[in-house]
Amino acid sequence: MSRLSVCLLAMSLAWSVIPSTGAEPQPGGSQEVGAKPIPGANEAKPSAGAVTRLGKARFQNVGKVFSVAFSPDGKTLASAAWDGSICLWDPATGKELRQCVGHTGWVKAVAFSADGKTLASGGKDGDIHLWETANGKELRRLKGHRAWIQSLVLAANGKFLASKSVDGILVLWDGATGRELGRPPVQRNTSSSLAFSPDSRALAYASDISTISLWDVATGRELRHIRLPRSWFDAIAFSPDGKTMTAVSYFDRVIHLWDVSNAKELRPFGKLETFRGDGLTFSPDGKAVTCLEDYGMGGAAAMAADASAGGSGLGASARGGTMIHVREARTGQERCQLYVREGAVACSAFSPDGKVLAIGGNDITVLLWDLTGRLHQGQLQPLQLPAAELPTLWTELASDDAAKANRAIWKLVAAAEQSVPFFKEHLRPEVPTVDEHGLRQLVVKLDSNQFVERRKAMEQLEKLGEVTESVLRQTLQNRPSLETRQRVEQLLGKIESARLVPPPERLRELRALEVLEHIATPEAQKVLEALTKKELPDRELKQQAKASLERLGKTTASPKEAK
Amino acid sequence: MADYRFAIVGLGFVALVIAPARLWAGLPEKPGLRAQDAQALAAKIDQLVAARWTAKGVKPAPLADDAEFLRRVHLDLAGRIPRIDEVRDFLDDDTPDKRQRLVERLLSTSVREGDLFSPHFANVWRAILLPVAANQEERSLAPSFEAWLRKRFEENAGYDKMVREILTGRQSNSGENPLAFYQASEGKPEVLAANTSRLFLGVKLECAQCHNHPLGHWTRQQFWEYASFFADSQPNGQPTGAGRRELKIPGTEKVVQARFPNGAAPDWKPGADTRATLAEWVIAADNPYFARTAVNRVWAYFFGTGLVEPVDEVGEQNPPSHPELLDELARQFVAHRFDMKFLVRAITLSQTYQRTSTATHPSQNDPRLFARMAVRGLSPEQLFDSLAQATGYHETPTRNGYFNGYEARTPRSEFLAKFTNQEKRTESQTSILQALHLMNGQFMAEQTSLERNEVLNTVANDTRDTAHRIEELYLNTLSRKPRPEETARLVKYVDSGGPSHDPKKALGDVFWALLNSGEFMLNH
Repeated sequence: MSRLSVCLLAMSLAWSVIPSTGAEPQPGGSQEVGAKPIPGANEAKPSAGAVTRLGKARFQNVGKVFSVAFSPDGKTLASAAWDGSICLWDPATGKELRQCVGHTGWVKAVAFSADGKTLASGGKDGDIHLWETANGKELRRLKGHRAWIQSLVLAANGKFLASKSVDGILVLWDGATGRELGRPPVQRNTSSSLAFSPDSRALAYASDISTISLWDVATGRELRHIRLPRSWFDAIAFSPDGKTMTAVSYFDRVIHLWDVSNAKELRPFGKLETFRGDGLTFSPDGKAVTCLEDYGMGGAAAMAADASAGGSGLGASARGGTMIHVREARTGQERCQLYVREGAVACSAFSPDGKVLAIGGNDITVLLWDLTGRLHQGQLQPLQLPAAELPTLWTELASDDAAKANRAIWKLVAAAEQSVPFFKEHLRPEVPTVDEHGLRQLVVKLDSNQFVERRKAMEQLEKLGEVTESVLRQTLQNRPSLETRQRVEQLLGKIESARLVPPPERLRELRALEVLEHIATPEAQKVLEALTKKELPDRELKQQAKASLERLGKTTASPKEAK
Repeated sequence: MADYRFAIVGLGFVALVIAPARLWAGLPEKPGLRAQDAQALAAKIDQLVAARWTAKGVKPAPLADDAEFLRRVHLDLAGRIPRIDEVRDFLDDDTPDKRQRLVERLLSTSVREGDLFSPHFANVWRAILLPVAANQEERSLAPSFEAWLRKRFEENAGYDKMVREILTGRQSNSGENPLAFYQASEGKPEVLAANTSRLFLGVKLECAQCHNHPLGHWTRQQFWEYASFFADSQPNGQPTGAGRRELKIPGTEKVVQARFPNGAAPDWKPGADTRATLAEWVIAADNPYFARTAVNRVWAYFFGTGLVEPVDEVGEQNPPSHPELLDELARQFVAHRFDMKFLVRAITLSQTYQRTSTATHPSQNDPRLFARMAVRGLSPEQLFDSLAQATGYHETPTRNGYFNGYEARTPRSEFLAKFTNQEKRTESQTSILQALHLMNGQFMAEQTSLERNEVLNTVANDTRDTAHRIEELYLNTLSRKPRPEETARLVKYVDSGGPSHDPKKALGDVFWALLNSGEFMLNH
């Protein structure tokens, strides 16, 4: 059986997991992949949740796919493996497009340039190879490292490339000429994690066991740094808007989140039972993040250890394998998880449309996981909802349960024709009922001698929320009385707290924006535009709607062009 | 066969229906009803405490005024003094149920509302269950244990569930670790036996480790039988998995098997977990010691003196001051599924808790009669956090002042480190040390400096008169308005400018004096 036919067979099997009988697909549930025995040396059926498996043979525990990357247009997927192969795949058909041949020994890292025309790779031979994606030809080889490459990353503008080798040397390269630009200082034995800011101006890397440095690539100086003692940071990543940065500390397994502009830590993102650093990836819209939990080999040894510990049942951890969690970035809550039984998963990458997660593991195949639970032949199946279901889904968007909300999101995306008009009706920007003068009057009343007046002013300002922020901050600047100061600080604290722990209504709005961004039709964009009008207050809803439109502007035609 | 099956079904029915009905008799399901229950228990507390006054001819102190109550309940439930706006609003509010509403607000564990109860009660219970030792290794266990407790209080997990989790002792993730309880005892069976019996059963078994208990009826054999439940523990707190349940009594050849302190032998089922078996026995609703010990500790926390005092010595030789009250509190605690908030609500709503600490009659001097509120020293955390509140000091939060199990070097952690060995809160020794440290410390000097402190600066630049500024400082530090004679004296001092002839600096002197006053440093 040819490789292509094997892939097609796998796809036809895999895609049949989307039920057409109306049964509910469950992207939010726990799913297990690869539980079936492998028939011979050929393809096995990837079960619920997986779109398909790329690769002919599955060799258990002999090596792994170290790195996967989608091209920016989502039409090509690159995988790099222990056997030195770099494969380029068409993720829509599962077909292998070509291989890039030239490495001596295994390949540890691959990354696409922003235009998708170039692929960079690095591995055991210590050289950075640049490949032409269209034909697999080697364009250039960057020499400078004396040890094997652990990681590499390309800046979005294509001008810079950074690579780190196992001897702790970090090199910044000119992406166009291959010239070495500098070596930012870094201590040995730090994490190999590297990330360019989306504006390509800064490189973030772990400079020692307690510090992440933000390196200005133009000036060759440190912009600022983030320090937490003995944290062993790994998995550094920027959100797509570049405003926040995340990293995981090996020490306490906390996912930390910072405001990039001032290096101030925001609320901890979540906590992992066990942690593998190579899997932490933001989705393209920054709304989700993956984490890998490695349970090791599992099997008899783990079972025995569990039994001796009283047999409480360690679940998946006793079985080995890897649990892949997809968490909601805003709340840290789990949206869905996938259990991959066959040992370690080494890497993962979101498709640019955020609908598929590519997973590379130790059987040298690549799994494509349907995050929507609704893909059919690579496309989201349109859905016609009973009219009564729309309000239910609207309620579920506000749910504390991120998995439930996630299912509602994809259902609403699939029912685009109904959900866009519904959102147009329900997702209305809140126009403040009090103008700036009125707000200032309310602030004055915070120090009133009348208890009832103070209480009413406090309640009103609290209810108005974000729109009061600038007036409240100005009040603090103007030396208010101690009591006013404390009341204003309390109100600002609540605004801040609603940002970090969004109330249900805010969550619903943000998730609704996500639905509209995924739908991406001109009608959906119009709803988004209505939320960004100049006269509207600068609330998070407006800011996020703007960010959605900016992202859509990069990937689709603007509404005017579409007309 | 048919009869046998019927018998099994019948027994199952009895077990399912009768047993819970017996354990949770009269348990209300709705929160509203629970609040009514707390009110009813508060009234019962007052009735049973008052009964002793009649017998002893005690004239109880009157109820505390709003300011005294506000400050006390804030320190007890939130671990710090109230903000100035909270004080003014509470004093100006004339609705009759404002004390009840305040308690509810302080018990709220909503993150959005700013939960102060969970971190504070986690700290209180950590100090009880895992007192911080001088040893650095043991000190490093406290943060993860406290973080775990905090999470349980946030969820309002029942006290029984928390103790079950502690006794079962499984390692959770590194940041929240109930196993720290075992680790602090290095897994030593005799230490674990002594600690668990003292903390969860109110019985000091330590003496029986070497000889039969001099006063109680505990024998040396009983001690080692009980310790045998922990025979399988390793220094890291984990069980070895070998399932060992016996120990040799030191200095003898006698090997004893695990038995409960009441002499009963566990009914070991195949594959039974030793720790879980013990935990189920300890937390059982019909264990006469468990709930009584818990409510006694909570009572001692709020009143400075337990109904059984010392709290660790329950027994015939040390009867409770109010046996019926202890029984009623324990009964209600069990009936409300060991709900800590229910117990706290009932106590703080009682008139007994709401009495003033000012003595109005000599008959109020016996602390075991609870005729007036005891004056209690603050815990180091309460003192520092109140000081931070009054001076507007903000420290970057690092999970209970710690980071990664190591203390962050912050003014808070350095302050707390000076008070690791905490004495009983009603004894003034700790407070004197705290006072000396405060008065002479650099932190206090900085926080009361006119140039550096935002709060003082704001008050000093307030355009209103000196009397108003003095009132603001009082509300901000002592959570009350100054008395007329205090205002008169301090206005005179500030207006004269004090020794430096500078009214603003003189205001700083007042601020310093208020923060260093006994009234600020005590819970009264």
